[in-house]
Amino acid sequence: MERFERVQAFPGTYFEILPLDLRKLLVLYIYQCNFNIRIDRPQIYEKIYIYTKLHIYDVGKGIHYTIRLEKISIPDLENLIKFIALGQSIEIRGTDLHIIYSGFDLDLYIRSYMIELYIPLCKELINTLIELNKFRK
Amino acid sequence: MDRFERIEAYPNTFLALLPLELRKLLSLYVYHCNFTIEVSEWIIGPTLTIGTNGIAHSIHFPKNIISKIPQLVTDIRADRIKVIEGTNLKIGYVGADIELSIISPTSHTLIPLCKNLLDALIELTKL
Repeated sequence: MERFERVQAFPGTYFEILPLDLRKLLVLYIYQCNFNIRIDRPQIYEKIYIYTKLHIYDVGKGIHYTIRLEKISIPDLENLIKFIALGQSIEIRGTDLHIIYSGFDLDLYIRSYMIELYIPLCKELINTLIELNKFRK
Repeated sequence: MDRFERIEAYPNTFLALLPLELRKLLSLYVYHCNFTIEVSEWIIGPTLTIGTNGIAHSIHFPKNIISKIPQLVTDIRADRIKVIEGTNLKIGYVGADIELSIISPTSHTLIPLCKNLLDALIELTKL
């Protein structure tokens, strides 16, 4: 299922009345990320880079977040994606990372040692999680 | 000394040739933050919250790093490389006024060095 077509995700909403192509356009507009995401997959752990600058290597031109997702700490990525697709809240507790999706497509909450991060839920973020999950299979 | 007046920080650069007021204006322009920054006191300790492009990022500072922040600020002002470390948190300044690097066991954040960020660090130590 394509989460952002919103067909199955919110079957009772006004989205259902609209033609599929219009729905697709609307969600592409709403769920466009206004930041960049990249993933890296070295052997020991996977990393998600989120940056507000144009290029990952531009120094001093924007904020750059790197989140380390170890397989051991977040084994349940598949479940997280499934629940986000259904718009249902889910909480994943890993050994050193905690991810919460509270529904309503607002943001993804990531908590770890000394940091808390709210990332707006957008299409590329979901795609990144899906891609990470593929790596793990 | 105000780091961003650049008087003592780079005494031999072209900036030293300019009148102080112009230097101040230039540095305010160059070091203007393009994100919001807020300091607050949480149950778990002093917290810095940075907001940009819809992303909200809170960093909790352990007590054993707070006491080292004044030295970090002094070194940033003098443009000296500095790393301070507390429980599960490390802050590094590599010089050249580019960024501040904040490292926890599972994350790494690079924040452009700007005036409000320095002010926020100073405010953290007052909590």
